Amino acid sequence: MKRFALAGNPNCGKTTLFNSLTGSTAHVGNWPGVTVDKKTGTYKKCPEPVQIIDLPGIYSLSPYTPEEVIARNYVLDEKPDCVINIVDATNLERNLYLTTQLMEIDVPMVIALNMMDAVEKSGDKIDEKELEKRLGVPVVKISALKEKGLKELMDKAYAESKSERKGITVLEESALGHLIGDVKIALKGQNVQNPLFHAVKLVESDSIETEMHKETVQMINEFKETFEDEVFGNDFEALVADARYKYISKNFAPTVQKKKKEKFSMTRSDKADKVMTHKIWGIPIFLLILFAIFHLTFSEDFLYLGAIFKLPSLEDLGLLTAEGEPINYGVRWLACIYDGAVFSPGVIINNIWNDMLVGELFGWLGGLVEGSSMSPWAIGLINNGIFEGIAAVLSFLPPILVLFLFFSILEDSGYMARIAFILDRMFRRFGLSGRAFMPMIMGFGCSVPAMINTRTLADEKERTATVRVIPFFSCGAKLPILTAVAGAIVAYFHVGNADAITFLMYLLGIVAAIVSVLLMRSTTLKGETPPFIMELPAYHAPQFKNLMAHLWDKTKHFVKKAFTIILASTIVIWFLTHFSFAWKFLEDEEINQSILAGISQLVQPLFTPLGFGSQLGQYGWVFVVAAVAGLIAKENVIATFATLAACLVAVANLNIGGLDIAAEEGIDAVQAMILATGITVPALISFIAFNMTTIPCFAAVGTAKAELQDKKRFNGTLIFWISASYVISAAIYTIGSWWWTAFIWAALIAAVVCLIIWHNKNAQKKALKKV
Amino acid sequence: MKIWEILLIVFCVAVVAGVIAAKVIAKKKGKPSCDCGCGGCSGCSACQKAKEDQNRK
Repeated sequence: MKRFALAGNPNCGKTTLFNSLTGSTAHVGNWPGVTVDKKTGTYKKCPEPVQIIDLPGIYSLSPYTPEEVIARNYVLDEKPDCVINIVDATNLERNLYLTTQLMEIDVPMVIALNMMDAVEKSGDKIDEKELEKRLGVPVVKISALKEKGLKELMDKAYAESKSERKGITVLEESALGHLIGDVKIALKGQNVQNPLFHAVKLVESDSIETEMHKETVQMINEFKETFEDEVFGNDFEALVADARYKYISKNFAPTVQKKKKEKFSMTRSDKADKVMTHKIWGIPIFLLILFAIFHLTFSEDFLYLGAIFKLPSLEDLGLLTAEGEPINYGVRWLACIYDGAVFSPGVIINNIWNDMLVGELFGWLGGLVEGSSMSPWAIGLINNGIFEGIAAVLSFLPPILVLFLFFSILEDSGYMARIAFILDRMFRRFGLSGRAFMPMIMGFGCSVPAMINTRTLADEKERTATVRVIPFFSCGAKLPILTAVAGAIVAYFHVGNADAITFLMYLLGIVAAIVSVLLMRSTTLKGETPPFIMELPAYHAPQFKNLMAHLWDKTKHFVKKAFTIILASTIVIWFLTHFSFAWKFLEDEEINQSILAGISQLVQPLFTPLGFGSQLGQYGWVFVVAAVAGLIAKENVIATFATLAACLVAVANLNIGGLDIAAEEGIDAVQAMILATGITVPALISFIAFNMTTIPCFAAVGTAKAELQDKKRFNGTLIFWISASYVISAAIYTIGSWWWTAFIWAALIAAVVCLIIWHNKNAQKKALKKV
Repeated sequence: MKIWEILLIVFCVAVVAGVIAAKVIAKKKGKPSCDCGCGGCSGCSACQKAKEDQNRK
């Protein structure tokens, strides 16, 4: 099978082209650095199937970043049959810099002028025939987004792949032309493949090349000693780069005909950026947008209309029965949209999903099981162990999808890249560059790809600090915990709004990450903050296809997880709560004698300073079980609550009385826990914070281990997660319960800060003495 | 014990054993265990690569 590699600058549309050619749904984001490793797919419309390799975006073939090394090694070592160089036609000169380097490799090549639709829209013209003639490489105009010109591109690439191509360089006529020619001949004599490419890189003093061709380096150094440029001195890398740009400006830029503009005018993106990336308003706007997203997803009072206009509830309108049930089917639907306030879109979808679909389905299934002739233990296992756990997790699918729809819109529109730019100034003060923000943002989806994305960070210490704080950015799996506990706090204690609590918990995660980074970068992970240069992509309307692909992927894996790992966990938890150490079957009322209760009660005192330990009495251990089950997968916390809540409802009927809770909804399950244990609001907030900041799921832990590679650093990371979650949760619980403890915490923080300053000064003095 | 109850126990054991076995096999093959889905992941092949690197070491 032939292999074609897609190479180009970051954010030039490689992955969009890859998806169009292969029918894949690889993650496409409107910010540079989405792809960190190569991906493969198959194109079937050529005379024979062609494997397409999507390489990460790069600006050059110099080995400065891991992406550049991956792309360079692939093209040089794996020898694809053709390289399709995707060039952003709206930014031709800068993109051709990489083209001039790819041209030096002995590999068939085709240039795809992407985003031609945007060029034509702006009134500019590119003479591709002339450009082709000057480059000596076939050029095809395409629009990957609109899938235009793709067939022609692939046909040309296929035709090119049949013939051999020798590398050419634009540096021939530069001051270094002779030297490059001599080095090329020398390398050819040594049977080195791609001698021209290696010769140029040797002249540039490329670290990999100088290591590989030690004997040739001496010859180059002899020449370099006799050479001095007026502007760049002995900086040969700068000299080569300058020669390339000069050649591009002189020979290729004239193929672009810019529409005559009377005066300099700002594009729409520039105008929007004047506001969105403002040095003062940038961060408040970001927080406002974030809050709007949470409001649209979680608020039960859309735009606070209910509170402002004092709208009547369904009960006031006489639409509920004496038992509080809707009087007819129509009112049931109305209750999904309105009850004293219009619900936000996220809540409406959630209500319809839970009340009309999931609730109905599992209620019906539960009824079937109840009516069967099975033993009570089997009915309990199916209804409480299996159905309750799965239904509770599935009940959170709508808010997760709505939230991720908004996040995808932000990403696709290009705003995410702006957030990195806005936060760079702030992050830099804490020892991280804005680039570190990109993996953190990915952490809102899942910590695993986010940790892998930290490979884009060149500094090892910065990378370690970023990997450690990524779990603080609440992932999709943690959302059910947040939503269920926040919803239960509002429903049971009538405190605050669910949207505000969820928003504040997300902010808490971000603040905890910043404080942790500050501490790490000023103590154990000290180091220089690398400069952050990022190209801001133009804003564009999100693509419906992309958004749906993101959501479909999320749905598929959430449902798959519910029916595999969550199902298995709930079965295990049900068994462990219904058998004693003597292997005797226990009724729901006896779960306090179960294996799970026995083990949990042993470690329960450890959680007392966090508010969900020994102070919760006989059923308090359920919070410990939920937190530990969350280590397998965070959705397990709510599945565990639902399974145990079903048992506690039976207990409550005996001991508490008057409890009317349907535990198949996560929020109700948490309310059952509150009733049974008497847990307080600060303890519940502390519980959320603990789950958000403690050791993430096993998959994320495994990834952190693989990414950090150093055993000592990985162990340090585990200790960091445990201690950070413990301290944060303890602070929340104690300050929430006894406000005056805030002074004790403030004193402790001040002491730690003083200790760090003193330690750093001491270290500086020692270093000076040594000098 | 009724046949349905025996089948229920078999089903539960199969689910638990199946999930654990699937995770172990996936880990041995170097596949990621994140359940985030490789199709939409920017670093899906990187997961494999990390495993290969470890094996090479």
